[in-house]
Amino acid sequence: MFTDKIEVKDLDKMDPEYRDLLRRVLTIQADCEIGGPHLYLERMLPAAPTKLDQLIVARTATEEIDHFRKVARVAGDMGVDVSFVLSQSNEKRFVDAFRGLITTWEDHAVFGFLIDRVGRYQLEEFYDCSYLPLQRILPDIVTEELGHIEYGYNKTRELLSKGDEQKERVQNAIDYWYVRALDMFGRSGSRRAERYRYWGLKRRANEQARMDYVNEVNPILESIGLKIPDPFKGRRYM
Amino acid sequence: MRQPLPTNERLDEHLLEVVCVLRAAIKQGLSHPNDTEMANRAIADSKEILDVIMAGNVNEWLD
Repeated sequence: MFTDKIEVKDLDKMDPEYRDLLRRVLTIQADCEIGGPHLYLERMLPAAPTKLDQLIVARTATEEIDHFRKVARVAGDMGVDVSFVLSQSNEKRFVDAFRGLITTWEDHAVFGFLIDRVGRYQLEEFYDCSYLPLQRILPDIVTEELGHIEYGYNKTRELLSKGDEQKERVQNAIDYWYVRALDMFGRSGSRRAERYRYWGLKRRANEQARMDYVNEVNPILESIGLKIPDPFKGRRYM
Repeated sequence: MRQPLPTNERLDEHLLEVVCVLRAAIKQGLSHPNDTEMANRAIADSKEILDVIMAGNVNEWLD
């Protein structure tokens, strides 16, 4: 296991595999940061139920743009250009969950509740990671992501309180996003994930992070009267 | 020695400026929740800026 801490000035001395994995993980992280606003902004900014919600949609997108900026800066400092993801079509996003368009308020609420929570898990992978410039940008990003998750959770609960028909719509959104959330952790037993861990760029195996997520989310779903979806139905990465 | 991207600094500065403007506009709207006109203005201003960022024409921003 690699335990050194690396600055940008040290990169030339590093194994090419380290640089490749770092370039890859920064590109995917940048894509995920900007992928969210691309998914919901077009429809949800005009259609959010109240002015306050519209403003919070705009604030969430702004924070994600700022997260993109910080990741792009770290990548750019090592000579890696991730700016192409700003205009990339949703269908070309690295992660399946970001391909498509959010068109309903239920989906938007559940996206914050479930998918931004995966985002937090992904960021937690970099805690104490070997690349210090990446580690340094984490605290502020994670704090804002926690706000997005809480907002999504609160909006989900608010929708659930509006009767059976609304509850069914929320459950449908949960069924849709839950399996996508589980897929976001990648394949179990992934060799690449093992190499990330070897180089100190990530902390957990994909299956471990996914299990931690399930253990966190399932009790929350049950506590608010929602059914836990079949974790295998429609999954692409097991 | 690994070199940073030539456009790195400028892109960072541009996005930071945009984010600051957006945060200020949104804060203005959020701090006057009962003022519909102000909220509408904040939403319209943010939308205009966000649309430009979502279009992602980086070369135009850096010209």
